[in-house]
Amino acid sequence: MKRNLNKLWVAIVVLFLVQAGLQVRIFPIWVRDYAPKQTAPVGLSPDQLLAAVAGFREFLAAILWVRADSFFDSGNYDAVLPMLRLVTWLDPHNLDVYSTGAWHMGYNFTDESQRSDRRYIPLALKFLEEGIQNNPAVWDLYFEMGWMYYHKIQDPVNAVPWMQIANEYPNMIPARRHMLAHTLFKAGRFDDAVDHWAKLFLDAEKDRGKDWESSNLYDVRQKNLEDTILDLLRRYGPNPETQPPIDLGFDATVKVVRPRVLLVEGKLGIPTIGARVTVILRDKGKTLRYSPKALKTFTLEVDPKLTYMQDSLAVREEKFRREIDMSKDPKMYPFKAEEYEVEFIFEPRYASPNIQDRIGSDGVGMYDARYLEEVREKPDPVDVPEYAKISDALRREVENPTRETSYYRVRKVITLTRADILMLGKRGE
Amino acid sequence: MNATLAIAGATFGEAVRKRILMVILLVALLIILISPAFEPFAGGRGARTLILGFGFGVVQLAGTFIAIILCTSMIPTEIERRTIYTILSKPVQRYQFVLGKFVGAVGTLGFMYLMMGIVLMIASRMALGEFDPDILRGLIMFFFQSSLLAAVVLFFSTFVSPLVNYFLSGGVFLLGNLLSSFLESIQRDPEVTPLTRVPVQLLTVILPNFANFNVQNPIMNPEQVLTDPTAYTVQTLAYAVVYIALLLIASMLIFNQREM
Repeated sequence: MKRNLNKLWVAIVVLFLVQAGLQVRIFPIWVRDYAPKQTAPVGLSPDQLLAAVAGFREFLAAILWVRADSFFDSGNYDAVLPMLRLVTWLDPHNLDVYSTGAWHMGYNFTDESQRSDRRYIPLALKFLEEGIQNNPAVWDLYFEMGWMYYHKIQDPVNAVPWMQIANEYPNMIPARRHMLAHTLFKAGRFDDAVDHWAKLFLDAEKDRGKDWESSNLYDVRQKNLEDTILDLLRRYGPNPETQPPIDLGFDATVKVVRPRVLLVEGKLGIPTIGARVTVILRDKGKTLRYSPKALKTFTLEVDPKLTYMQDSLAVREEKFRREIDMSKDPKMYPFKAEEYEVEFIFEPRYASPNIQDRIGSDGVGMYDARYLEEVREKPDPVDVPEYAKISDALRREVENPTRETSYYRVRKVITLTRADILMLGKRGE
Repeated sequence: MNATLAIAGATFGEAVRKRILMVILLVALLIILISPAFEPFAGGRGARTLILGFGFGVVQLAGTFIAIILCTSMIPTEIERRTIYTILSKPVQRYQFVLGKFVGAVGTLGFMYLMMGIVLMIASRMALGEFDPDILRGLIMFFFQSSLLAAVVLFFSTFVSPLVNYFLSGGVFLLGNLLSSFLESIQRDPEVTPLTRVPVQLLTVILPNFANFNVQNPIMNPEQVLTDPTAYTVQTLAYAVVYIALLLIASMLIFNQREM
């Protein structure tokens, strides 16, 4: 009997070691594929917390997401943000929440004149980064990050690495692969853009006759490849239309017409319609850092003391003019700093194709005696998650970027004081 | 073996006659059946999460309650009613008694999971218009989770009273569900010292880890790419079997020493 008992004790020890070994093996896979990732149940009421612990995490997340949708529909945007935090805590693998949430932060907080509150963009980037860390084996959020840089921030150089990562996933939607070529082109990497179109075209050729969708994809890629080559030939070929450079005669002025209301006007010698000048007003010496690394962790708060306004002004008959009213949105434009910079920028990368045909996609066909400057850029290093399914070569490239591109732009900066903008002492505030 | 199976059969018969367990099962079945009614609240992708999340939540919660209620009273009731003396006076070893009780409990859980699984499949087919075989994987994992919990409860029932057992097993289940998440989060935090991390790591290895079986999230989020779901499932099921064996042997040892 005692011998049997000893055997049982030995069995217990052996089984304990085996289960411990199994647990040690299971844990990393669990962390990678199944872990909820967030552990701080911030903002959940006790009953919600109980439901989450009792196995209703995803259900509760779905209910909260439906609720967030109703807040969104009623225009209560501020209420949506804490919902995003809760939903992604409960269900960190719901890609819709990350992509919709980032879009919401990046695009929907606007002033009375529909200008975005760009202080939310770093939050959106951080939110997407968190989504990527939680879902590294899925292409969608890398693409969303790239799109945020490409479209909202209009920074194609930093969009490229994210689009490249998304593009390495074999299950990416075929039409979305086109964005990498567009991004490379805008980033000034013309050879890479042509190469990518050519690769996509050859891929589409294999399935050309399979069905209508495949034939359509083939046609689209063929047209884009041809257009890109023709654009480059027109702009940089043997007899480039971009030469001799056009004198922009750029200038801009700012006048405070009422407290917190600016009249901006100026001239830009582009002899065709469609050009746009970007105007930015911000605290002097402070720029918004459009990077997920700008924030240590995701937060729902923006800097309440920072004033940052950005608008896009249409140029007609070589002139631009607009009254910018910031008086109705004191939360968005708090004007707490003593000095402000008003920056006027015209850059060719996002200009319409007819303008790019004349001045080049990178501005080689434009000239300005006072405000022309060359911008040299390379992408910020990307923290690629450990489990991202990309090649080692791309991982090295995006983690330590070396490829530099350049373009020309015109830029003028005017400094104003707080007293100027608020018209202090002049029947102002 | 025959004695074990006879005890298992009797335990199963007794369990399915227990009104409270049948009420839990019936309520769970009804709730799962009405889950397609959530569909209009969230269209498309959201509906899938809503319906499957609710269904899996109900199955898991019902499974947990059934395992705890069923196993807490199994051995103490036999002692209280003194029926155990009748059983042990026959050619039945104490280990056979414990094993039979556990097999009977697992059989009951299996029957209840089968019922809930069928209804969940019907509900998801009705609401989502498709049958997803991955749901089956989720149900199997939950069944093993409940079986492991049943083994934990049975183990405690050999030396503590039912009331204490409710709280003890509930606590172990809660802890076993949260420990991995806790460890994962402190491993990510560079400011956490080894003095905090090591005890959590040890606890994660010592206590039964119920979080391993919670695989419902990728089933609700089918875009998620899993490394090797088959290998994970096999390893987790092996973990459950090994841990159950460990607990059963420990239960037998304790029950063997117990004065009746």
